Amino acid sequence: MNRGFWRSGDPLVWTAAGALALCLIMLFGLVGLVAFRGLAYFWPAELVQLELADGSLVVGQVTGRERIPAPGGTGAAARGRIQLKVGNRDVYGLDFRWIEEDLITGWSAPPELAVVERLEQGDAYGVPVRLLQDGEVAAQGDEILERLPAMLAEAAALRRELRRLERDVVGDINRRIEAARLALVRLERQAGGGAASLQGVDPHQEAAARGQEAAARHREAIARAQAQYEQVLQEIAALRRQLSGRTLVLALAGGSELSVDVASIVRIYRPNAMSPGEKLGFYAAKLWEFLSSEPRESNTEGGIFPALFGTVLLVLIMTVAVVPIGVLAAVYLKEYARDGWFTRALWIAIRNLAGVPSIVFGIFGLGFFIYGVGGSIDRAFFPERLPAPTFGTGGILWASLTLALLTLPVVIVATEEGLAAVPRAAREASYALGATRFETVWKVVVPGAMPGILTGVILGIARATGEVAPLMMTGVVKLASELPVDGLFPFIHLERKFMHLGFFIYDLGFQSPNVEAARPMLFATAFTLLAVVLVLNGAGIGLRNRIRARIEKAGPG
Amino acid sequence: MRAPWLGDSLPGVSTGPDPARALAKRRARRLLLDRLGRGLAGLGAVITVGAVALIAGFLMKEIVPLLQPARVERAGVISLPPGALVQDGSLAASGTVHAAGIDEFKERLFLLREDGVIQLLDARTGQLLEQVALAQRPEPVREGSGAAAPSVTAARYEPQRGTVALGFSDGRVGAARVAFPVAFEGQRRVVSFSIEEKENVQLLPEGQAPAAVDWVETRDRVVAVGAGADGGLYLLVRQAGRSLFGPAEWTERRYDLTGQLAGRPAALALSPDGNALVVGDDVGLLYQWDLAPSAGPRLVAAVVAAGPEAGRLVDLVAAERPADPRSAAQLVNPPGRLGDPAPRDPDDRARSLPGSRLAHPAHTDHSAHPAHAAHPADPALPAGPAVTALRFLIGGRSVVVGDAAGGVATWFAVPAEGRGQVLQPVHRHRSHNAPVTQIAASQRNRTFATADAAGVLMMHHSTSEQTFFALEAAGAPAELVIAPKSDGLLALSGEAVELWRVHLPHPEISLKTLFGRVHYEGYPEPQWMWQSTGGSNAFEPKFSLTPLIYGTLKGTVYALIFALPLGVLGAVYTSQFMTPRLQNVVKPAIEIMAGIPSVVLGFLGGLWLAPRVAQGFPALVLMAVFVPGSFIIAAWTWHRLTGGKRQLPAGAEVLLLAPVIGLSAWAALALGPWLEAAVMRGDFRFWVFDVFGLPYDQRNSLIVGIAMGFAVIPVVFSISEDALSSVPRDQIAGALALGATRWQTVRGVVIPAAMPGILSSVMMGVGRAVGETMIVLMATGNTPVMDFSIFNGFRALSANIAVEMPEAPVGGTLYRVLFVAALLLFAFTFLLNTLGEWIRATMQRRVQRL
Repeated sequence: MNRGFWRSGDPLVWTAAGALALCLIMLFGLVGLVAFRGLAYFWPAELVQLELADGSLVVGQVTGRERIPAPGGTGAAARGRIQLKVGNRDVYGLDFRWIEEDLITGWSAPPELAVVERLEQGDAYGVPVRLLQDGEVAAQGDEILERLPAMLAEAAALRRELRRLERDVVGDINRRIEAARLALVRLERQAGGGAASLQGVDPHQEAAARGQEAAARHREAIARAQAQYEQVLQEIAALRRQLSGRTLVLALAGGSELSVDVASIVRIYRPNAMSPGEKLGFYAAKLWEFLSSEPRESNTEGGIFPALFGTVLLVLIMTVAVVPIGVLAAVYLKEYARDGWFTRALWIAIRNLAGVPSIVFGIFGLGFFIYGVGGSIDRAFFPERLPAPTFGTGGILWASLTLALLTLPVVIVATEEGLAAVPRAAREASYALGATRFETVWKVVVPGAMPGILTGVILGIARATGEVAPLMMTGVVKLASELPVDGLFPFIHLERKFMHLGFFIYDLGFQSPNVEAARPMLFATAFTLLAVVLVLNGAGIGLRNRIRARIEKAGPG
Repeated sequence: MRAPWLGDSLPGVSTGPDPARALAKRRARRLLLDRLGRGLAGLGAVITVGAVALIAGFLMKEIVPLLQPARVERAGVISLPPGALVQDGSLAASGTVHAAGIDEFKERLFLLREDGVIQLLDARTGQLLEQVALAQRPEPVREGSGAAAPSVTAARYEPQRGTVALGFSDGRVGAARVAFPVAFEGQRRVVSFSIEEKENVQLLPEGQAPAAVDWVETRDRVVAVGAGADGGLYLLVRQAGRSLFGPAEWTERRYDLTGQLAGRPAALALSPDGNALVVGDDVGLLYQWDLAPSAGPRLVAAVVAAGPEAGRLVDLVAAERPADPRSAAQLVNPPGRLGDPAPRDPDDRARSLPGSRLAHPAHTDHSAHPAHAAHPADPALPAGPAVTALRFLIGGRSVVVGDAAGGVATWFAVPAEGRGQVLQPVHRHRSHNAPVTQIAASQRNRTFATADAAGVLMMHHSTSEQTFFALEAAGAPAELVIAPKSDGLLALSGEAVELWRVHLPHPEISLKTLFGRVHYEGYPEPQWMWQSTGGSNAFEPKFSLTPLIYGTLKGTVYALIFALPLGVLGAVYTSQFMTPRLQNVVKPAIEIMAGIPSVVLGFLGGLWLAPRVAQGFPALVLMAVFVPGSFIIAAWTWHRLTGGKRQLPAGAEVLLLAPVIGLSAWAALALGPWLEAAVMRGDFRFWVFDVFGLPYDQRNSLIVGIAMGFAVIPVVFSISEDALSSVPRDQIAGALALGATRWQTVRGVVIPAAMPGILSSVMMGVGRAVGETMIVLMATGNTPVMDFSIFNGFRALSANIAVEMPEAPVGGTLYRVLFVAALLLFAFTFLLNTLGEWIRATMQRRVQRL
């Protein structure tokens, strides 16, 4: 390498280029990795049957391969081992097995192997051999797969009905009982408050009589609800009986058999026998299930609908809270503010809101919104429920407001840019026509700045969607039994806890007892979150760059 | 002015109201709206500024209680019930009250008098509610003959254990269990009092009145100790045999420890588990016995109790049998050898201190108690101040020692060479001006109160070494008690019981405990520690934020090491060597990447990258060499191929280098196992531990550095790029025209001009890394250790808040300390942002001037 080469500085230019290339490769590689692993989750993976050196058979899906570290530093030829998801958790105890490649003597993919997705205990892998109805053989061999779909559909319908009974009907009964109980507590409090004047004159006695009447009514309501509850319990038992009784027997690798209750089967398929078209259909069905259903098996299987729903509702409420304030503040900055201490303070506030760590917002939300504001609301409006908090504990409203604070600067800055993009001519024309400043601002400038506001909203939503730390203190949970929106008055339950995609990832990846089994679900969820955030971010940034280009072309407004 | 020919009768006008009025009305409305609009916009601005002020203000508001001084106010003075309350004429008139206690609501108060009568008073009014005489008080030694029944000569109330140890004038020692059961009558709370007497035993020789006693009862042992007024020290240990089945067999052993003392016992205390006895004597020595061995008490050490040499070990040789009633303690070094320049045994601390100022207590026969071997009879050898009060703190590991010179110190066992755990004075507290007479311990935390002979009371905290207040009581207190909820103080002096309300919500917090090194119980030396919660009240919370700040900075540094070169160099390249078209692709792409949710980065770091790095760390090392090396090689290759004459079209290097990076990374991955086998002896984790002594955690700083680097790169890149592209083009053109190469231009013109912007980007990057929560939470093990090893994890301030906040009780000390952490983060990022912004603004002005 000659001196000219070094003196030209080219190596440094190339290094800089390399740094940029590395940044891009890493960033795109990351997205690519998550996308690949996330999207692969839905593809029906091949079931392989391995023959081992000791003559035994193993069936499973290959999920990984790694080099075995060679101890002693002998530099021995790298031996590998593969990770096999063997399923059948109830039989083997573990979902995964590491198998040394040296020990594998045969490798095949028999088409008759089936994957049985179950409600509990994860997948079962095996060959369906018998279908039993109340202990009698009802079908054998290929006939099974012909008869099963109808049965599964029937079971699914029954399960839906069961679920409706168990959750909606029983939940409704519980709510009625709780409402009556709270009403009783309230009556008792009133009576306690007036206890001093118990021996008072007629009006008091009348009031007491009315109170007693009301109390009797509430007690009756409780009794009625309890009777209804008994009835529902019987219905549930009947449904359960109807569900049971059918069993699918699988032949497992190695000769043993596994009986699976048909009622607990989600779906059964033979990946090795599927045509590419079937696989695509399966992929779509699985993807839909992921997006639309609820998680099972402590979040390691099923779908992420509640988390998706919680995330969307969270940012929607946040948007409602942040947009008016953000737009007003931006309008003030651009249209009204004169240079002064307040304007400077406003800019400092905006910059620092943007820089304050999100966890600080979280701790503020917890201390101020939940314990401060929420606690006050509870004391004022829900005293009969205390000490159980209603608004004095984490909930979607508080989380949304916390995120609104967090995204306020994003909205202000983008809106301000949008306002700046409205040409001066438009304003001047408006003034020339005799419009007041208010009319100019709200009928000319703000509509003209709509793209900027939209940019702010999109970027704000993108920022908020990815935030997890503040939510961990303000009401996110790993599993919420109820969505914050349902058919019961007042339909939107702002005090409820909620699930969230980001927290779902954190909890599943770091608090789950079976991380290995959760990994595909984790990648799929991470990809969902990443896709949402990056698409939103891309849209926002694209829009913003267009506005900037317009400003540059037209000059500042 | 209206044209007169228009008249009023113009059709279509006359039908409506006066148009001028309508117009005026409309104008008024428009003006109002105009003003309203202005007000509304202003409101938005005010809310924004208010939000920041509210956050800062709220954080501070939650911290203020930590810094508030203690509040103490006199709650009342109750005169002692007059002697007329004595029921039995044969009893001595009520004299000294030996013990007193108060319930958790500060409603009831009991007094134990010399004559064995226990009186229950209303703590608010002083009204006598009930009185009982100790039923099992020993009978008079001689029946009839008018001899008085033995009186109570010593009592020790331990509210923590709920027992009162009693010493009777005939040498007996006993105990009673006292409690304040709470019942509810409807809404009303009723506090009552119960006393359950235990047996008593003849511990001291008959007729010798104990001057100090203590009594501990646990599930499998009973320990009683008594010190006679004449200097004897007696111990009883009753131990339940360890049998799996059937009732336990109890064995009782008695010991006379008098001979092991150099002076007369002046204060004593048993640890709550009955396994340690601490005695202080009147020549200023503190003795520590281990009572656990079944062979009998073992004197662990005798140490100087007070003065500048407090804690120095003193060797005593007990003659004959160790725990013999008639054994004699002797000092190893007789007074004559004190100044010996060549001690015989250099290993012995006590003897190897030539010129030691401490006069060892000498020993002669003692007339009152012939068994005593040692007393400071020689006036030329002044002993240290006598130990006058001892009390174990909650948890039973720390003991507070008060001495005759007014000194107060917290002692606990610290490893001593060759002796195991020896009591040492660890925390020294504000001294009294008179001998300390009483010490009371809180049942909630490590707060304690001390009283002296002049009637001054103080309240201290052992861990934080704070003294909260000093106040004067009516007289020298005969008994001092801290109310069970640690919210009150009771002193019994002269003829009155004085009560104070104490508000001391966060005694364990001081600037020193938050940021300094603190010597915690059970540790050999002061250190920075974060360990906020333990199993019980007895746990000593460790609230040092220093390890967390350290963790935050460690994570930041590693992230910056990774992200800064990449971000800044990438920005330089993008802004200077790329066509605008490529710039328009690269810049938004990296900006979009800034939105990658940190939870995804943390998840990938912790679950994808960490196990891979743990497998292939050697490959990563190779990559760090190969990849930059490949850039140079590629540049050189190009240079040779073209003879240094041709340059690539702007931006093409990036495209060319992508496969080069891929190739070098692949080479590194392929050669990693070879490196591991050849250089690192097959397993780099062992190798790292062997060679550098560093243990390898799977989730370590390296992982965090990389994962957080992904978050920091876009920040650094975007701001640097902005600064670099705003360097005026004519300057660059000028430099190039003068014959500078493109890199010389960048180094000599562009980077210096953009330096403030780059600096500002670094600050913003630091701000992002400092505040990052999810990545550090997920990609490290979150152990609050303080070392800079790249193979170790750490715990950052932000992650700590996320981990501990959900479990912190509202308004508690932990809750508020976490707010301190949050305020630190807030202040730090505020500073960084403001500074970064200021630098950037300065730069903009400078560029505009150019």
